[in-house]
Amino acid sequence: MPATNRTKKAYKSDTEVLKGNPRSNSSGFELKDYYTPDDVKGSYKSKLGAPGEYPYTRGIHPDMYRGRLWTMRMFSGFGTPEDTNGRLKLLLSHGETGLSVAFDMPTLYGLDASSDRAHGEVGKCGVNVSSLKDMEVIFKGIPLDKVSTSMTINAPANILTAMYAVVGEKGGVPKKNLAGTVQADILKEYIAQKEWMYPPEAHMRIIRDMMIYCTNNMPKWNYISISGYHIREAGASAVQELAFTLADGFEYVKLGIENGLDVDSFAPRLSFFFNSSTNFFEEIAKFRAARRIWAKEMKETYGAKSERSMKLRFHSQTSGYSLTWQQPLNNIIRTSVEAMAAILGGTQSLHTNSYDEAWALPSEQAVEVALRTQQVIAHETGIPDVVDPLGGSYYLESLTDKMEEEAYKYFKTINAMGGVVSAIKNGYLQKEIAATAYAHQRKVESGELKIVGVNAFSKENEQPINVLKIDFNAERIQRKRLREVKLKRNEGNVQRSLDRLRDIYSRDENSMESIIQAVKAYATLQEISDVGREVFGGWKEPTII
Amino acid sequence: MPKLSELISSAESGNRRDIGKLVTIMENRSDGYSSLIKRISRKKKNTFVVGITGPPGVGKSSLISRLAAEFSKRERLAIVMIDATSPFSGGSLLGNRLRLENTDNIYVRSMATRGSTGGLNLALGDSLDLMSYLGFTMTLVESVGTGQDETDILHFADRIIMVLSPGMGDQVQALKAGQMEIGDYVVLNKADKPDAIIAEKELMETLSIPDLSKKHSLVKVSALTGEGIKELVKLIDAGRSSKAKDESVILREKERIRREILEVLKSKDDIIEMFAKKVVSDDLTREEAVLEVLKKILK
Amino acid sequence: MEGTNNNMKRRIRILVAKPALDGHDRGVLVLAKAFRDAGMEVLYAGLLPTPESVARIAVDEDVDVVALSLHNSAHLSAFPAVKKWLKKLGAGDIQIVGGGIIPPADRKKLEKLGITGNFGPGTPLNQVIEHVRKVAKKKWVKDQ
Repeated sequence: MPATNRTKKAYKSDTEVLKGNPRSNSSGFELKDYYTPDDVKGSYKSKLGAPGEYPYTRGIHPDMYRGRLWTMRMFSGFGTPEDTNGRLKLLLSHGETGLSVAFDMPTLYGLDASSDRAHGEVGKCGVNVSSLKDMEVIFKGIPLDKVSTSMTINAPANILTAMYAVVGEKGGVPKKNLAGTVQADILKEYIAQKEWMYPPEAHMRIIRDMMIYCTNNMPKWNYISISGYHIREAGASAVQELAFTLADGFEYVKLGIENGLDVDSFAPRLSFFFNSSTNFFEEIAKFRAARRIWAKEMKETYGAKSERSMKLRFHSQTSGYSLTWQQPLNNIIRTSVEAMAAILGGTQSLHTNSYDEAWALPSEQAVEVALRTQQVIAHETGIPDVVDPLGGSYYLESLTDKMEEEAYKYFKTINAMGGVVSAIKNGYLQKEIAATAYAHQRKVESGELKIVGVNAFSKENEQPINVLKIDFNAERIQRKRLREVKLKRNEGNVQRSLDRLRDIYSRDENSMESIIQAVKAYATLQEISDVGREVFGGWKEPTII
Repeated sequence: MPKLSELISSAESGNRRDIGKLVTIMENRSDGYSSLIKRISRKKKNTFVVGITGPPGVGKSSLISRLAAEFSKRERLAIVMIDATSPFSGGSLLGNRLRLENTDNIYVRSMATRGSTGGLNLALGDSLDLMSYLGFTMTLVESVGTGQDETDILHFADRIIMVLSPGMGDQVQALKAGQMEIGDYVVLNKADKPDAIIAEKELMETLSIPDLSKKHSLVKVSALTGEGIKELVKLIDAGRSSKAKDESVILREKERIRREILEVLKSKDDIIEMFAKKVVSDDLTREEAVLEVLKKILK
Repeated sequence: MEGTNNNMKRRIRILVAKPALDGHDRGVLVLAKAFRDAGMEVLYAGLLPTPESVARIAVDEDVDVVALSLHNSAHLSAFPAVKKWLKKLGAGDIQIVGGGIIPPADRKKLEKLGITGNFGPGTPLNQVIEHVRKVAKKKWVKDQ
């Protein structure tokens, strides 16, 4: 049977791609046909070293996953504090000790459930917290001295940290024993995720306050998680993610040092959060380059003496952007490959996305498949059996070097502008990302980049999949609870605590203790946030388009 | 679509939906354009037009936002912001209004240059007439800000603010050569920046060059902190009382007619080409061809 | 002189906006550029506009289409809110095109309200552009 014109054409277009086209990756590096020892420069000792040895290119532990597997940390949280409390207890009963809580949009923007702007968004993308009361419910019956809690919160991270501290104190767990993480990486908010309350300088000052307070009072609290994930999701290439995230990291290190902290007293508490996307080798090279750059800079530029300050620890999450709503089951494959890249890149913990997330909030079945993906890799593939199994690959080592080299070019540009905050205020970082995002999309449109099910091997009629259906009554419940809190509290105490905070904010003193007092008085998230809005004003980003 | 007269009276009563529709009619010269123009051009032009121009990146839009906050307290204020049209696609990103803070009492309209030269949109003149007709007492116009030849704003504005900012080096140097003198007020924005002092000195030197025909006022402002804004507002108010000389009104009208004729010629390119061929083949002299083209267009 | 030349040819005017608490602007920024490159005049409402302010910009600027995108599950309240405000301001004829993470059942609800498209992430830009052209032309016919 002769091939129809259409199949001939399809065949032709596929083979064309396979033949002579020049290849490059998301970072725009031109790739050779193959790599040889000539492509790898420098000595084994200086560039790689054994796992667990400086510059940690091969991993931060000598035995890596042979000693202990990565933490399979799946973050969750939705609806009311009661819903989330139930979910957390369920996870604890399954033996999990690392909790991870997601918050809804109003909470992320420092708004109460009763705010006009919160309408329709309460409890949707995470749990709602409007006052200490909600945090008390979320962690009711959970032994805060035995678990560690990761909270994905940024602009109001100081307030949520204070709430957690008060919940702990009321339950008899002193602050110094509380373990956990808040994301609190405000620089990447300006660069990518765009959830802020105040101008950059004000938020940096608040981070400084947390940094100093936690270093002295909450030694097990990771008060910042420097995040490239959102930078990548916003459209950055792998090398941009690497460069911008590390630049943010160094900015926080400078902040600590400038405010009189010994670098080794706080740097070990800094950790990272990266994206793992579909270009397998590029991602692995990115993770390895990140460790090497961080180690070198911490040692040579920032004077770290402790190895713990030089070791870059990171959480990773598979790419949400790579998920397609077309042929959604294909997303399981994408997530698997991305998860393998993160593991081969030496991640300390991993969240795998669910295949239906381009359609809706994930269903329980999809979440389970995502977790099983990690378990299959961990227990069936042999991937974790040997540390850094790809180390020494001519291609991978050359790619790692290239990543490092190109990241330094970005550092130079950012420094020439006067640092990350300046490069945010003049819109440079945001424009770089938007330009990469558009260039990527153009390549997809032209067919230069193929995405299975989207612009290649697509089907005419997509069948809808079963997605999660939730009845949202969180808004009503949260508004009601907030009304009750306001009725019961002592208004005089609330006003006094807010006045005190206003004063501290204006006088540039450390604000953490007064935030804790306001939280204790049941001042609401928005009331506390509004004090900052009064003193610091809001922030409007430079025009990006 | 309601009748034009209904649209006009609704717009007169302040309905922004219908003001928007009328500007669209002018921009596209769609049905009703001629009668609309006839209707509004009878009324006296009394909106005070302040043009804001200057190289890209100096903070024109942020400055407008500050001025708007001041003027909207006591004026019926309209703002027209112009962005460049892409020569490749004919499309445009109209991003300027993003800088405006509160536009509750201000009518704001963004326009693309649509291939018009000089940093303005051909419908600008008509739109300003419309703003006058509708009783807007002041209109701020932001020109496109390509940093190139943008002197056309002269023909539409009663007063012009040339905005500059420190650290612009070459761009300011280039402006010195020709363009800066169009500003009635030269505004040095971003005065909060440390290098503002140097830039101010440089500008003072430039502005005191004797053969500059006009007298300029140099004002240092910061759209970020609000510094100097009140002073600039006072200067603009002062300039207002001395506006509207007859000769400048005639000059402006002359320019608008000239622009209209150029637009007509642009649209009759095929006719010009036809006669160009005849000149090349020696069938006509160039002089004859010009007369023929004009005749043909007038038909 | 009505419609003197090409510069006065009617162009599609479109406002892209995220009318809720959602800072994920990758999609709208890409779309804004894509619409420009498709010959449209594009306005962007910036970050965190309310449904009311989106409608007010649409009205002042007399756009043909408002393109809304959300990734925060607020589409069922925010998109119709924009629609409501447009109607209130006498601009019920301005077309609304939706996009983002929108479950199939919600798509139907939005369609019923006249909010069309409702494209998922990764939809080819050409498909979105063609849809915008289609609804804009439909509006233009009514404008006559």
